[in-house]
Amino acid sequence: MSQRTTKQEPRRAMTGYHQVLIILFGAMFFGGGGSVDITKRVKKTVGDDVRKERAMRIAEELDALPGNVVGDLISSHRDFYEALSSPELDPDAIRASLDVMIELLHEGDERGLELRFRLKDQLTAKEWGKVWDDDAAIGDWTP
Amino acid sequence: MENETGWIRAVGLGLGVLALGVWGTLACSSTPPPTRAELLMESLTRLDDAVRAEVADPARADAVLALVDGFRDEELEFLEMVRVKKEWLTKLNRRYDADRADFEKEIRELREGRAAFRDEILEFYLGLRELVTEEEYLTLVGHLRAEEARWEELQG
Repeated sequence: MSQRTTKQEPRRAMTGYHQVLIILFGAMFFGGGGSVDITKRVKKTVGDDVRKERAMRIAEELDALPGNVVGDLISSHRDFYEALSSPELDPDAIRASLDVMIELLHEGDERGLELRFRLKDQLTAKEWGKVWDDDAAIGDWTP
Repeated sequence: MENETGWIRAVGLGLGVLALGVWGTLACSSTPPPTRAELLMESLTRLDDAVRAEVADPARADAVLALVDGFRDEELEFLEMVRVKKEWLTKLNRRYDADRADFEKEIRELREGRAAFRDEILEFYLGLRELVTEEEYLTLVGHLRAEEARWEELQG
């Protein structure tokens, strides 16, 4: 993902502002557990040390996923406004900048899905139910 | 000396009570910050105001306002699609043995929804450019950028 744009932003934490930006172009579903820290839940829930360590590594990646997409998203968002800021609008340039954002979010979703199934492989059904209870919603999108 | 200490204590206590009162009043009167969807909708309402202020010709201003209305509808439809999908995916995810193909179908549909919304965004800006002068266009795009700066200020 980080190879996609030329103007790279440092990796950063997801803020409310970034979430507004993301929902403007379609939410990203598979990134952490919404407002819930999945890594902490895995640490608390999984009893077996070996599985816990493996599961925590995966959960950390899942929790960090939205923040990892944000830097690239901001770069392409800037490209979008640059394309809009010329009175001689170039539809191809605008579409291209939006397509970059769509692909970033889609790749993020696919990566999150992969992590979801890797995490599931480390947890029992009972542990899974505790980690993903009613408080944990998929993704970062809150209407 | 004792009197002085007592006086200082009384003032300290009074200030403490006052601070608690102010904090209590602020806490009770503060309203929750707008949701992200509300911010998006509010920005389009503020765009309406900007159009009325910036586009001098009433006929063109009406045409732009109709364009903004149409875009608002598209955005609401898109946000609703996302909300429904999120609810469904959250339920699906809770099922330990959920089928991967079910997730993949939803993700694929979401990508298609994003692409359709991309076309709406493009159509909106091209339509806007056709209806306004170069100066008006740049002012309105500047307004939209300023709205995003406001989101950052409100949401952190």
